[in-house]
Amino acid sequence: MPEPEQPVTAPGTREETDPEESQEPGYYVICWNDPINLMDYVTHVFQTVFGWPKSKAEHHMMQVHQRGKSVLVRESLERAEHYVHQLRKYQLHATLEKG
Amino acid sequence: MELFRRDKTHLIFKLDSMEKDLLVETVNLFPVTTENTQSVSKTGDPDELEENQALLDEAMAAHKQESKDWIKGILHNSTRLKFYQDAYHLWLRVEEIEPLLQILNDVRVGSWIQLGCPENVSELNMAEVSTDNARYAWAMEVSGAFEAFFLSTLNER
Repeated sequence: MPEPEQPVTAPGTREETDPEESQEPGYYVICWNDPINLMDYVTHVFQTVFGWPKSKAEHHMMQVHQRGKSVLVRESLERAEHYVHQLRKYQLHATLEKG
Repeated sequence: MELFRRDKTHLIFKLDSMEKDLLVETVNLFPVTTENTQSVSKTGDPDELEENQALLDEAMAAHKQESKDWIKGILHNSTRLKFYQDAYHLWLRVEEIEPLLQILNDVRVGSWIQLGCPENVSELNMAEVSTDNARYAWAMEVSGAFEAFFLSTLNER
């Protein structure tokens, strides 16, 4: 099968600049349970968004599933917002909470 | 439906006519979710939250429009989705699995919301399904099946 002649740019694939790291890591990113997202999907999203190995992603997915929520990372406000935005793109219920 | 060919940068999926029609029908529903369904924080300062919520909603709306344009471009690009010999071939770059999963899951989650957020999604209460929302029951199931398929191909790496 021939390769496409015209590229179609995938959304969300542009390079993003890292925010300033000088802020205090005072915000938690929390993922909340729901009955609709597939467990494999949630694991995949954690791997993709945070770059985690599958075992770590599965651990947090199981926390969400069994305990109703999981604290994923503690970051500066900017980084926490970034992660919440990324998780929301995948339709996961994520919030940021001040530590 | 099967993963026909893969290399480091590309994936080609083979679909029969019915599978192709189902995929097109499903992604054509996108976007199903609406903004403001979830607060950005459960505990933060209301004024700060309002600003953050507005930024999040704006970013999500822009992302959905971008995704809608992208999937439309894929489905209408004859070199991306093409009947070849005995089946349709869907040609994707490896990284394009991500926006495809996001679109399918928007349809799944949005359909679930339209159905009233039932707790038990594996055994829908038929009393909750009407002629008005039956298409969402269908879309929730079909989008989930496509998601599971694409995720399984990623796990084969």
